[in-house]
Amino acid sequence: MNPLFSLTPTERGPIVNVREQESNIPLTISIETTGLSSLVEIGQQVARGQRIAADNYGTQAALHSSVSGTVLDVKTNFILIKTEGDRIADLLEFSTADSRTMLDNLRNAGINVQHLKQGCTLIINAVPPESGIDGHRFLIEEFNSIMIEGLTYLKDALTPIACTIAIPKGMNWTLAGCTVHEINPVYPEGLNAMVVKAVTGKEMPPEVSVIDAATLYRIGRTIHGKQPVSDIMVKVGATLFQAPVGTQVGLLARLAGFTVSQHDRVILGGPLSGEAVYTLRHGISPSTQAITVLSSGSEPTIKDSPCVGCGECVIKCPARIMPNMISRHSEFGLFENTLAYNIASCFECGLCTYWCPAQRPVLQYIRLAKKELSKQPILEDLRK
Amino acid sequence: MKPITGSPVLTVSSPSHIHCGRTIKNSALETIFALTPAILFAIWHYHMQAVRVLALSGFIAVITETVCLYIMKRKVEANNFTTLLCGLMFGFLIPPAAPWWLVTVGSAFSIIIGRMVFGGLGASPLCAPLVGWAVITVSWPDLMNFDMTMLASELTYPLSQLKNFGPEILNEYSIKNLILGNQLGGTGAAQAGAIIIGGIYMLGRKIIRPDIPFAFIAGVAITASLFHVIDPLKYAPIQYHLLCGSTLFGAFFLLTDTSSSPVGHIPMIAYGLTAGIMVILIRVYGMYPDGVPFAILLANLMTPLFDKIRPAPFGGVTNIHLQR
Ligand code: SF4
Ligand code: SF4
Repeated sequence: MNPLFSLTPTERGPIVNVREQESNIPLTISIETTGLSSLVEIGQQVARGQRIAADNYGTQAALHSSVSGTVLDVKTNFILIKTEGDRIADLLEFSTADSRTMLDNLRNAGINVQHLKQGCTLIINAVPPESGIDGHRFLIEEFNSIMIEGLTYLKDALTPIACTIAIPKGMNWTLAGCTVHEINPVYPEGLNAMVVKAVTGKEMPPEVSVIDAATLYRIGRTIHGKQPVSDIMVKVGATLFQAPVGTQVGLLARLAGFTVSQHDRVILGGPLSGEAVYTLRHGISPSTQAITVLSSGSEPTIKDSPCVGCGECVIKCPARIMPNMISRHSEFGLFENTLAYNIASCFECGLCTYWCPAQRPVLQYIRLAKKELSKQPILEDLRK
Repeated sequence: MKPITGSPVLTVSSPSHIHCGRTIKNSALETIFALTPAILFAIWHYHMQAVRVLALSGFIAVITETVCLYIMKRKVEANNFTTLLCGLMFGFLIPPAAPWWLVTVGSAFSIIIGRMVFGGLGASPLCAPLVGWAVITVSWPDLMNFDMTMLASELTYPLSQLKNFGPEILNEYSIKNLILGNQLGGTGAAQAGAIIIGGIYMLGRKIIRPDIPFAFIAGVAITASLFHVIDPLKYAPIQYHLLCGSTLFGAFFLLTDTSSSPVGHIPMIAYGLTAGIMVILIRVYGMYPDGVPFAILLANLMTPLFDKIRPAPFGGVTNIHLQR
């Protein structure tokens, strides 16, 4: 099988601690705050674990500084902080009063709780989303108790009717209080939508909440230490790093031995479904699991060419939709039409783009259509 | 572009950031490579006549497309070799002795009516080489008649023999001779054995999926054997239907044309079967000895219908706002 699609976790190597590696020079972190409003000003001194950005509407998770330092700059989408001093923020409170407060506490501590529902089936996704993104292997094997602590809190908050951990086949990972479900370790089986289907047998059922293993660890660590998690596990190439949230991708790429030159691509996540960043000073977010560095080839991977109707994307699409027709309509701005081709079923695995011989940016067209459609008011259909 | 200080200019793209490496250009080149055995066989049988027809039709196709793209003020894209391929496939269908002007007109029509009027590469609802073939077959039937144009050759055209004299006459053709291409027919399409080699290469390199060719051959075989079982004296056995005319060329190269064939396994199989059944119906009841080109054109027209056969989408979500 193509190693690119293999989700079997690799052997565990040593872990490189970024703070220790870079202890002699002050670290500058950059935290992406898109959609949130900043709570700090330029020049302000912040403590490690201090809340620096929050959502006015109370839905997105808050962001915290992962270091003690001085705010260098506050941009529309970024906050830059330079390490200095050794301040630590006050401990957080975690109430056990009612479910809503418990989730709110988590959200304030930097955990995304938008998809967590009361009385759901809770699925812990421990399958690597893409080949090689297996930093959570270390967490499951070494910090199982922390994860159980997180799970206990979640169970109190959500009272799930069932709780399952999905693991790649061949691993002996377990989590107390969860049934184990083995997943065939082939891309895209590790993506949430596919894992839910494998576990529940249903496609996109409403009564399921999925969190990945790294997030469960963050919850456990937060509850355990009563502080927002500042360090996360990031896989860069074959090296596993323990890095503060906001560490710039350029630094991680350098430590992992990559030389990034003009027109290369640096991607948060894996090459099939990750997000490219535009500058090496982009910081990792709390949910980042991997960074991929791709050097630029002589040929572009995508081109502005017409669909030749070969049907590769249709056959390869795990959502069984027609990316060819969706991309054709989206290409010419006919976004409404894409609904008839079930654009909403696409869970953005990127396989259509990977296989398209015309090298069309198929997923990009799909995302464009989704974005345009979601801007429109909801007129009907919700009652169905 | 102003570089952001301290960072090289990075390329931003949308996922997937990598590609399988199979492009239109190398698929076209591989297909041309798969056609080479048939080209060599054609040269062995017809010498310079074959070279002349194939070279001219390929050349005219590329020139025509370039001129059209120039008029349409679009980027010239002859470097992806699809046009050359289209021209060659047209050349495969016509008699080796076709006059030069017929090749030119047919090849130009293939590109103009078969492809450019629909918007160029990928947009055509019909298999382009067949469009040119249909235009000249209907306009100059005598010049497209293999027996009449190839009077100088010792070979004969089995399908017209079958039409005129009934199935016993086919006993004159041994399977080995048919496979070696000792029969009249389209310049390249009659080289049955070489076409099989090319087809296996295409399947092995995964340039075409097996669904369409196998469904088509099954359609031809099943229908032909039904007729043969009903009346062996009146209808020819299957092996002749498979090895004569352009059945195999159609199966591997024409029917699998990407833009005019349906997508998805079940539609592909339905499409192949339909075309296969139609071939025999046209051969038995129609006025053209070889039913393959018209059967494929008809199946092409039904492609949008076959494409309606779809599995239920994942999760059946109908509203974008409801996702996640
Ligand atoms: S990204 Fe493409 S292949 Fe993947 S689910 Fe969406 S449409 Fe299908
Ligand atoms: S893979 Fe690309 S060229 Fe082929 S049908 Fe899909 S979008 Fe069109």
